[in-house]
Amino acid sequence: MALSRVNVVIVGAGAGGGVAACQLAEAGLSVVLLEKGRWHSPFDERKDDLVNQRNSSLGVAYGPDEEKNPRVFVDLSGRARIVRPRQGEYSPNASCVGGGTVSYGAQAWRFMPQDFRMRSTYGEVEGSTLEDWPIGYDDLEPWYEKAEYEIGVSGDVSANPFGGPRRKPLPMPPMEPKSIEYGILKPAALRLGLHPFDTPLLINSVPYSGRSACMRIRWCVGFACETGAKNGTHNTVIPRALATGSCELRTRSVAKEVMVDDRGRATGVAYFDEKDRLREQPADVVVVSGGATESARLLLMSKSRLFPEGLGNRHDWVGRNMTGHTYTGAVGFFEQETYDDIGPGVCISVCDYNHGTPGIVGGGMLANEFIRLPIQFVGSAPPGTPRWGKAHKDFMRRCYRRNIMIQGPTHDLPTWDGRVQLDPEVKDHWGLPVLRISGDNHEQTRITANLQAERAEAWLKEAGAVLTYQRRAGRGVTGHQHQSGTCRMGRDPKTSVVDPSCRIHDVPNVFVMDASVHVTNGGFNPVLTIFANAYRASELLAKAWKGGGLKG
Amino acid sequence: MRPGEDAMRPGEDAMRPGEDAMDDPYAVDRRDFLKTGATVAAATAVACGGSGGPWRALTEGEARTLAAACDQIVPPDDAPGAAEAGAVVFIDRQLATREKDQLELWRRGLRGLDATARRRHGAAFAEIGFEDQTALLRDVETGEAFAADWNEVEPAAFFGRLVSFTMMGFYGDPRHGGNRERVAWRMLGVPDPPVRGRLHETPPPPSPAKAG
Repeated sequence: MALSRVNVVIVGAGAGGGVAACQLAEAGLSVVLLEKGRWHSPFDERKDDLVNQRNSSLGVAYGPDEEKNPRVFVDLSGRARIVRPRQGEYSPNASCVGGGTVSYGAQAWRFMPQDFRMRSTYGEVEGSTLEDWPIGYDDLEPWYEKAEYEIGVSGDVSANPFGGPRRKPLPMPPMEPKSIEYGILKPAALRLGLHPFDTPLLINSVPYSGRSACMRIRWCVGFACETGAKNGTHNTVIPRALATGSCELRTRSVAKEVMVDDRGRATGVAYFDEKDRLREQPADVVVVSGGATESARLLLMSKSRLFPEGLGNRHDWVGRNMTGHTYTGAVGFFEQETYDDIGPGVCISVCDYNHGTPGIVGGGMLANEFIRLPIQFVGSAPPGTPRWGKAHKDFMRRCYRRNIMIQGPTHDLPTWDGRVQLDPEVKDHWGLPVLRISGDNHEQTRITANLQAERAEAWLKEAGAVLTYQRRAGRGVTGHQHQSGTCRMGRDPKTSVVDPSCRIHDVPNVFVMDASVHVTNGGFNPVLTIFANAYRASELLAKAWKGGGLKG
Repeated sequence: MRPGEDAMRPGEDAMRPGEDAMDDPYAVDRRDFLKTGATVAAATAVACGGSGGPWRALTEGEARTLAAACDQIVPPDDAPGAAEAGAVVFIDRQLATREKDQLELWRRGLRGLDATARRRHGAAFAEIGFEDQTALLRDVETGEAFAADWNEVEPAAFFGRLVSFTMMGFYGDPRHGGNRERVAWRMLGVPDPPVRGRLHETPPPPSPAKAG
């Protein structure tokens, strides 16, 4: 059944789609925003230690639906199996209005200038599709600032000498009071000659934009904020988009394909509504922003006479180069108490190790970890400690309030075989082919990540830890909540999917606005870059619209 | 309900008949749990099921075996063990709901424990001594248990689930029937009851100790 035509249909109301909806609706375009999940109240799933987006032992709180959305995971030995959203191999990201921004840890990092020039900085790396972005830090700087002010960031990055130039400080000061961990780690970092500073967070340290300040509870990362102090698209730009009166949000709407006519132009999006009825939403412009896994899947499912392998996939780049981050770090145990129940936990970080180590490709930011809930700490015993019985119980009692974890995201090197594709057999609830995830992280990434673990351990030792151990790099393609790279941005249509304005090379009216377009994913949590690039790309889209170039 | 406290879900984490709401929430039961496993396990299995009420998924015998096994994973000492904390209630509820398709695996694993205990000691798992139970579980963990007792299920696979679900039932969220009266959180010194409406004006914690 056809619906009335709109200017833009956006698929996915997460970080990228939420920003795009606001920008385009405020520019006067009519917008339909399709979202697969629901619009959750933070009171729907109250602070359940076992059902959230961080510890999903019994399930995820904010989607995707466990039964309706299987995927296939291929392990390093080539064995394929069906996985569910509660499993790490699924590369789960929340599926709801706001996407991952409802329940994320909310670290608000700008990538560094070198992060956009990895190939120029480090040269060719064998086995990696490493490439520069076609845009640089300077292109994003004004949009980083806009994201920091419109969505809301607290912290103090003035003591970080490694970041790119910025015109304005962060809009909110760091959280007060400081935690015990901050008081231990900051002087230790200074003694090591590092440059520690207050982690930027998309969390209100003071009342901001009509929402309250953080109440410093321990249930933060993985949970929705009951007071709205954690800023995502669900409580900032999406309400603004709806307030214009020209944006309609449709939840529980599952995109099936981007429809394309015989001239190779998109005509809209076919989707299943909340009652599983197939609908068609005609539009002049389509914006795909389902996250790096689902955006690639939608393009691959959008097969037509002109695009038999899927939209934007003429040269087989859609779904490839998937990276997230290889996380490593260290755990330190202290004689003194380090636990004060002052959330969210992460508060002190260094960027000394992101770039510039001779013989090493890239690096990453290091910071202390969010508060570990008791069930999350169960697996934190040092190697050699029994994992059950009296000795384990004694470990919990002795160490729960006396430990610090430092970790960080290592800049992943993309590979041709680290990818998502459509599974030839398994279908979801709607009969659509599910994603098949396969590949490995790059050997050089693991080397860098293990060096980061050693650095984290050295920081903890300097801080007075009496016992430490490293959490070293694992294997397998990364993706997870930092999923990126599957619709690479570039100038050459033969080696990328979208152009620098995020428009698919050979389709004039389809754009991708999420981390899919990241050529590389920085040594940082990527969300602020997703916001900034969506601001930038939707501004370009709105300008092109006003110039008349996008009307069908 | 106190301001900021979660509402109880129907049938979950509710007060049981005979419990006194005015009990000191910080009081730790210091009964002697270091007796042999037999009586304690049996007693706690009954206690956790309320007034002998039926389990949702397990049989009475299975629950008794499971209670003894849970108390091996988190043994009672001066703080309660897993069984008293409600780990069996937690696992039983999961096996009746989310983990329904795993019930058979658990049944086979519990049968394996009893079969091995009978072969070695001539009694069911819950009836043998605590040290003997520990030794037996170590062999299950490493896959060294007598194969004929475990031909229905991979011992290590069962053991992995036993550990992870007992941990959830002890350290996890009380709303699922485990961590009864937040015993694990009180044992760890996590502020309790949880402060769910804390304002940012909360006074700062004691001055951070200087790193050495």
